[in-house]
Parts: sequence; structure tokens; C-alpha cells
Amino acid sequence: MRISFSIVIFLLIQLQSWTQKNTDFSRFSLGVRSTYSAFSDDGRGLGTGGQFRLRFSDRVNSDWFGDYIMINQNDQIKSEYLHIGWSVLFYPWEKQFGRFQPYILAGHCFDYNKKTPIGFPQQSADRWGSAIQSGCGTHFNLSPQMDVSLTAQYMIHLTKELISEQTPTGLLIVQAPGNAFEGHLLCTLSFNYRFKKR
Amino acid sequence: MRKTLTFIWMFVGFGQTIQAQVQQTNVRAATFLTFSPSRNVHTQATSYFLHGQLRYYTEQRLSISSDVFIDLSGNSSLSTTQWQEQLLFGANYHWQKKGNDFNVGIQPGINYCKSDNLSNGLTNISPLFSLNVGYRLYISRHFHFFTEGRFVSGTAITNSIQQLSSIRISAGLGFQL
Repeated sequence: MRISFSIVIFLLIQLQSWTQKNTDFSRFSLGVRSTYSAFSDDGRGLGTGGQFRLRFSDRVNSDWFGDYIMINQNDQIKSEYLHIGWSVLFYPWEKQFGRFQPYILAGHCFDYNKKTPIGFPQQSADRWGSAIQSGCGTHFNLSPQMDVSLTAQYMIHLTKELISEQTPTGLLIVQAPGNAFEGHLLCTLSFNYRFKKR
Repeated sequence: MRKTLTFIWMFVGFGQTIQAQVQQTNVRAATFLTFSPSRNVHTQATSYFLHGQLRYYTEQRLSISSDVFIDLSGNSSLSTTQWQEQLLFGANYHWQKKGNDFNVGIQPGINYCKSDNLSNGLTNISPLFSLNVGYRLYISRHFHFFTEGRFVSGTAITNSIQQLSSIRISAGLGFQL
């Protein structure tokens, strides 16, 4: 027991030493974001979330995000989405155009949807699923440390959608048969702080 | 309208008077606590919030800030909501000159409210988005006057749909940290 404990401590010290030598925080940035969801059967909605970025090279970056989006569906149903996922950003041009740096992106996310008839919370239904997204955007570099990014991407849900059915007792939320490959256009405005030494 | 213009004129005039005494300090962080009147753009209902802000300047032209709004007007602002709190976090861009500091900013955020429609209460979190413009006048090493206007957009859905979109104004005395 004592030997195992000593080995674990030794490994942790080695890991900390390796991390200090090899971690380059200038490749890491942290931010918050607002997302506008449109072109969906649910309707239009607003979302809030956060993200961090890990830059792999001058031309390749990655975006790890979490979003909570709420949609008012025809004043009848509250539709909530939770997206937790990642995207790879590729910069077609290495140079910047003034303060702008355009990119294309594609990625995957885990997708949670809950639909609740307004006024009848006990009749809600939810589902977990998976989704893929792709789009384009641009950074607007306010400084070497901070940027504002505008992204438009279309997300396709790879799962069965929740739909509403009118019954004599009211609205009923059920899963649609088959994968509809439906999705929504997500326009995201984010700002990011890069941990770069001045 | 005339009162508003007079107030702005007095504010700027006061600033010009003391500007000669002010040295632009290298501000790293600032905070304030004040009351903020609000007008809902959909219902035209007025309410007021307790507004707190913490701001950190990452460099002279950029800052990140977090704002908290606590609704103090009870049921008068939203008819079906017992109380609501809002948390916003975002970035600001500044133009500073001789103790004057203009800024614009964007802030995503969340609204947290509790509806009294149900006997057991129903809490709700909903997304918010805010645009703000502000002006600061640094009067000493530790104090500044500020005024801010912001547009907050969002919708809360509990047992009913409540539009949260509103225009707010905050002003008062702030502190450099």
C-alpha cells in the first residue's frame, strides 16, 4: 500500500514537471458565446454558452463548446437544446485580412432536446442524440490576446426528433419515426481571451 | 428629452471642469453597485434592478466584465414572475483620453427566475444577450463616475411566455481596485 502510494506521488510529480515544460498557454483561449438558432421546425431561439479553443498549428484550431438554446415553438411548446461538442477550424489563408481571419469549420456534438407544452410541464419529453455541424466564420482580432468571432454553421441531428401531436387531452410530445436528419442554422457570436504572455 | 440633454450637458461640463486635475490612472479593475431603471420594450412595463459590475482591463483598450442584475420591483415588472436575477459576462472595447473612457460591449448571459403560477413554484433559466455603451470619468486614483445604457434581449418561458427584452440605464460612482 505504501509503495503504491509512493509510486502514485512520484508519477504525479513527474506529470506536473512534464506539464510545466510542455504546456504552451498561448495556444489556449477561453470565451463565452451567444447563439441564434434559425431555420428549424421548432422556430427561432436564443442560446448562451461557453467555449475554449486549442490551437494545434498556424492553420488548424479546435473549438470545444457547450450551448444552452431555448426556443418558443408557436407559443405552445418550449423547446430546449443542450449542445456539448467540438469543431475543427481550418484557416484557408494563413495571413490576416486586416483584423479579420476567416475560417471554415466542421465537427460533432452531443445533442439533448427537451420539449415541454407551455403550461403543462408534466407532459414533457426529452431525448439524447448526436449531431454533426459544418460552416464558416471569421475572427475579428481586437488585439493579440482577444478576438470576437462570428460563425454560421448548420447542424444536422443524427437522431429521432421530438414532435407534438394534438390529442383530445392536449398536446402530446412523441418521438418521430425514423431519423429525419433535421437540424438548424446556428449563428454564433463569441469573444475569446487568449492566454498569451505580453 | 430636455431634462436628459441638460443632465448630459451638466455631466460633461462637470467632467471638463475637473479634467485638468485628473491624471489618467492605469486602471486594472473597477467595480460599482447601483440601481438601474428598466423599461420592457414589449410590454412597456418599467422596473428597477440592483446592478453590480466587476470589470477587469486586460489591456488599455479591452476589458472583460461581469454584471449582475437583481429585480427589486417584485411582481410589477413581470406579472407572472416572483423574482428574477440576471448574470451577464462579456467583453468591452474602450476609447480612453484624458480621464474620459467611452466603451461598447457585448455580453451573453442567463436569466434566472421563479414563477408563482404554480403552487410549488417553477424555476427557469433562459439565455440572454446584451449590448451596452458606457462612459466613465475618472476623478481620482480610486473613484470614477459612470453612466451606462444597455439593451438586454431574451425570453423566459415558465407557465407562460415572458419577453425580457428591455432597455436599462445605470449611473453612479464606481471604484478602481
